[in-house]
Amino acid sequence: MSSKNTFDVIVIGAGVIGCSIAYRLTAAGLKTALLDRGQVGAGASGANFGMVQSNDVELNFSIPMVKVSYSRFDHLEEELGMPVGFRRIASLRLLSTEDQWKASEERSKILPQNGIAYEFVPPERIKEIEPVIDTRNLFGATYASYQGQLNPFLLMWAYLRRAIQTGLSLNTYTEVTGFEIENGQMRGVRTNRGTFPAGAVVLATAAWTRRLGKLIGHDWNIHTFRASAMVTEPIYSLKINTIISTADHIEMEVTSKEDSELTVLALAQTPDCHFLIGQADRPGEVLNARISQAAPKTLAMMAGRYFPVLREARILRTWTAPTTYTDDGCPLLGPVKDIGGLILAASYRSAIVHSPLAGEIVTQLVTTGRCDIIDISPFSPERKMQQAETIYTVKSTQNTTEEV
Amino acid sequence: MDEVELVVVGAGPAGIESALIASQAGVEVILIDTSPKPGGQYFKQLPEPFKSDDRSDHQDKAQRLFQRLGSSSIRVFNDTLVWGIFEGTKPGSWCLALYGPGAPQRVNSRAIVLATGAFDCSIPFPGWDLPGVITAGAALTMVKNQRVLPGKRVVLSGTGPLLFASAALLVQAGAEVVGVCESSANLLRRGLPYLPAVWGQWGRMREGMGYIKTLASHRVPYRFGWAVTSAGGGNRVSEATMAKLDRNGIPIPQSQVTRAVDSVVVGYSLVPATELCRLLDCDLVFEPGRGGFIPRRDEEMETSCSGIYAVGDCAGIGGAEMALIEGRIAGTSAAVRLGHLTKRSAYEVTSRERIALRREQRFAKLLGDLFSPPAGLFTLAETDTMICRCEQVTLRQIREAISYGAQTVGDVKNLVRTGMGNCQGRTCGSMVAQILAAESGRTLEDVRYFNIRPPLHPLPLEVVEEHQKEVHTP
Repeated sequence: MSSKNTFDVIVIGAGVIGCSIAYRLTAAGLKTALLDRGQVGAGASGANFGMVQSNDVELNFSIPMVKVSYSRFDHLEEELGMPVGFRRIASLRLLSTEDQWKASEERSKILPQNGIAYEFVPPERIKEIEPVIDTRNLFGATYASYQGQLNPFLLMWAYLRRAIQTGLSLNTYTEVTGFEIENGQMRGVRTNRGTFPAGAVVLATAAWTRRLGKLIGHDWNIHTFRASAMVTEPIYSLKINTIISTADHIEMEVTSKEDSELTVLALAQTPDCHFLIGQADRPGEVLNARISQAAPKTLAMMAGRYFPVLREARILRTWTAPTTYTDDGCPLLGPVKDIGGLILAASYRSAIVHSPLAGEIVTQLVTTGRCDIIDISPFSPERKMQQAETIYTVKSTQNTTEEV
Repeated sequence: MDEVELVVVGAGPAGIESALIASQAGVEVILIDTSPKPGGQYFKQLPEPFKSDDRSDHQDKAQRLFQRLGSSSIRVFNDTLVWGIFEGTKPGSWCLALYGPGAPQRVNSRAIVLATGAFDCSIPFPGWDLPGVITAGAALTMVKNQRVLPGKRVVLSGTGPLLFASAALLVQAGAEVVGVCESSANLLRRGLPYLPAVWGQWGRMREGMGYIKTLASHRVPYRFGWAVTSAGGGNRVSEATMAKLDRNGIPIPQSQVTRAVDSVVVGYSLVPATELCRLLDCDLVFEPGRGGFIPRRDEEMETSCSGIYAVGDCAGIGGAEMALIEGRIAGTSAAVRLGHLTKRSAYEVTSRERIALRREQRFAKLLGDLFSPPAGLFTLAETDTMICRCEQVTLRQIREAISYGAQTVGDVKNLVRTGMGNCQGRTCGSMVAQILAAESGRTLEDVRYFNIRPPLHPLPLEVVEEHQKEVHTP
């Protein structure tokens, strides 16, 4: 075992959360290694639209965290010394029925009280904001202006670039196979490329957290699904002003009645004019990168329904990545009680917006053993979870399913 | 057609042969190819109105193959793209998404033979993206199949027998070939250890001698250990500079010669077309002598994905003879898998093939080792040279990505969009790998390869939506 591989902290998972944590830890002077079983951003962090979202925040405990973290984006590019394409942009969530609006009513009361703009707009207003949307069958939309968008890869590499400059050891294609624990204290991790001794280990492993936990006798309550999306060639003649999603969805069986995929529309345009089209969700623990045979079709159907103008656009690529949710909509963030030196920062909803603060919180936990930036006790990995309302919970019983 | 027993993708020698063998055993087969007619690059057929009085061995072989195909029960879909392969609705089955006239939109199958061939390896030098600079494969197609000369004064640069063949054909077709630069030097000395592999390759030797005769009788200057190092011109290429290479493949400045030309033909051997293997996330292994990353296969030519076979150049550069043999082995094995042949009768067919295969493998190793572009050639690009043509990414941007700490070609792609465009990195993939390896001190194996995701080529949203026709519901 060489001392070259001995670290103060090992961060597992080179997604946007892991990269931010690695950046903060190295900046605090800690000898840090970042490990990933694939390449940087190989999971959900490299498969999203770069949305810096506050509107879908979990309402009971997460508002302070999202607000503090969102405010960090004011100076993040300056701090990291690299543009990441950050821009402020509003989002529209299209509603077909009054019931869909009612499901958002609580959110529309709570968010503005907390300084996060969120309002109902009628179809005429939708047409003003986004003229290309076919509004004929719409009841209205929710409009949230306190949002942003950036290039997620540039964000990850902006964190990493600084971290590597300050001594981070980045180890991609390094798969964790076990943990070294002595007397309830973390001593390091075993990988397919040898052992990395360290006194502290951070799991920023999203969909892989549950598997890793099982290696050390934990069964953290994180659910996995595969989210799929696609991208068009650049369309310079069409510019949209917002990020658009829908409450409507399509459900399509993949292999059986029990294995179906739900597709809501999530649509955004990149600064270089590509259209990003999501999101097909397929529940299940499968972690491979193969998109289902149903997803490209349902994504295309949803995009064509609301944006007929896109029907002639050429699709360059589709992709899929495993992502997660928890029953109460909150991440697993904080120290693990029975294993000293093990910290979780996993299953964030909207990881990008949370990434700056995740780095600060974990670094404080590692260096001082506590967190005084925000109250993280509701996010304890050992908590009992209550079922919570989330705007991305799509129930297959809703009567909006398309016959295909 | 919802279901078929076997789908063969690619109608070159490997694909046709595997389809025929399986079909003879009673397997229901469909054969799909993007070209207007079967044959692939090796047995490429002339367009409909063209007539030819070609009576060569090669033409004979091709005609026999097409006759067998024509009299088989194989259904052929030309002009058809397999744009995706997905996990099927039934366990162990695959679902292919097709785009082409008359082709079904979806086909489900338990077995697929991938025989997608190879494409030319380019190297980036200043001016390589000028109109008039084309690949050796393109030159061959233009002369042999379209009966068009790419230019009147041509210089060729590259390595391997394909370059040789292109030069001879261009000369025969009436082009003035002002030079052929073969980047490998000392071929005779380096080739000696491989002599045993040449034993029995008489057809190839005869073919080679014919090319040598053509080039010699036209006094075409053939330079070993040389390369075109830059091309110049305004709207299209008007001159090319050649230079002698040192032992690492770096040009020696004093040796530079510039010639006026209207076409530069470049062919640095071939790259296996592994896109569908990568789309399926098949395990790949790195074999530099066979064209880089190729699918890991067992004795039966099956990849790490159950029921997916890979044969011919797409599974490692080996030429048409090897492709035919691998096609027969995979076709036989698929027939066993599908219950049309017993293992014992399959063994009788394939045991002879395996002996022939070993001979071909020795020859492929010879070609691979002798004719690989030296690493130094990938230093020809200047900071403003375009590397990824689809996304217009220059060497400067790639270097910037490397300076951030990029470790794999995937990292470079994510940072500066190389390989994110229309071709998904087919052209720039090997270039970015060479540049990254050289500049970051990693091996070509460590810098890996681009992921491929469906659709294989860009397709309109309404095609992906399967908008017009009735859709296949599982």
